[in-house]
Amino acid sequence: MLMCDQQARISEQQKGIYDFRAMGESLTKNHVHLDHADFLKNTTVRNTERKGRGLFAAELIKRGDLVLCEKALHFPDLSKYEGFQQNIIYNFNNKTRTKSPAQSALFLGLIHKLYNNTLLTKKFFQLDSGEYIRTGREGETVDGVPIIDV
Amino acid sequence: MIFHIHAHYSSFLVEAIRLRNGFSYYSDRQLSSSSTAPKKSINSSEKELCAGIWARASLLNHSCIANCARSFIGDVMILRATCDIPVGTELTHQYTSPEASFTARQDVFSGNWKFECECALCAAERQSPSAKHEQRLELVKQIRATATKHPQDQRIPDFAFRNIERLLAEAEGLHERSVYASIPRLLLVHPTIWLTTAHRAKRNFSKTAKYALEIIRNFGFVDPLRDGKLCLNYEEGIVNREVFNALQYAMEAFGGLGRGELQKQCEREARKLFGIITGDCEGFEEAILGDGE
Repeated sequence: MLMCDQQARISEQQKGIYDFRAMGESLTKNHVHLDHADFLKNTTVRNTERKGRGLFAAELIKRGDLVLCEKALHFPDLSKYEGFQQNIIYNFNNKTRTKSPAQSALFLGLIHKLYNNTLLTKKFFQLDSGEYIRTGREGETVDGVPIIDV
Repeated sequence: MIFHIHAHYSSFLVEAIRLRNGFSYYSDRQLSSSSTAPKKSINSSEKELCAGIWARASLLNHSCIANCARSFIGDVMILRATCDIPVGTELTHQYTSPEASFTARQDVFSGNWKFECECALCAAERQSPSAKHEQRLELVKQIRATATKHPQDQRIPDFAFRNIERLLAEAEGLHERSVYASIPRLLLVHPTIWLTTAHRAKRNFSKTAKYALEIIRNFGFVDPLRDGKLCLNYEEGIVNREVFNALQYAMEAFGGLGRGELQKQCEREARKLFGIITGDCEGFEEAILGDGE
């Protein structure tokens, strides 16, 4: 990584200074994963009274200021999912049906990525799953391989 | 893929988390396959749905009158403050833009995310009796039916204006002051948008300005004009594209009325809002011009 890139990543992470214009201009149909740092310093995680966890302002944030800038844990590159228009996910647990190519690519991409990346797995399974009943052992591995019931 | 009886994680769990935490957005940057600069346009018709999981942002709770607005560049989410946020305040954003009708709105929240909204708007509207909610909804349906009879690409007869203005005044009267004095009146938004754009098409500047300010009021910015100055209370109003559009209409109409100072104030607020909604101010001039006709 170049020195100036490192500097830029540090000022993104520490000060929330991003060159959004350049980021926007660097996007193309098959370049959607941008190489940037997260800016999370203005937010802090706390429990709320009735709504589970929430994010709170870690300092005074003025109108228009950046609260948060975050790279996705997973964001499918849709140019790699050509022909996905036909896919439908039926979920017999909660009777939902997903027809959007972006959403089914997200689901399949997650399954694949969680299988390959145990660090990510931990972060992902901390997220709220509503009324879905968990075993509490999600993301554990056997011989270094996570087990998926797909 | 592996089949196993003692699954350590279930694809159903992955799906449950996706449904609960996933974000999606319509890319308003028209991406070409080459590296030519994509254009950002706020009301673009060529949009592609993108979806992803953002772990930190997933922890944000919903409020209809949120203090943050999100935007995206590829896999990067940008969250900006829509008003000044004191330290320790809970950060909120809109999971989806709130349905105008109170009951329809609660159905969306309980159906998709299993929560009951307790934001300032929903808490206040809960105080209004359900008979009143139904009465307002009925009247607004009637306004919509009247408006659809007069598409805006055709000449709208004067009686249609009078009709809709009369019905709107009636609907306004159904919003009891004890509940609605200082909160959004979302059911009135669409009738006021109809009147604003219809008067604008007739180049009636004073009516356009009047109803554009009404749109802004109906999103919760009560008394947007004070002592001849634009004065938006961002703590109590909903920041979204409709308010941005209303500011544009007001800006243009005040220009037509020769009220240069107000025109400038509208432009300043519109520019700031554009930056908050889209992530940065890049493309503001094109958005203003692009929506101008």
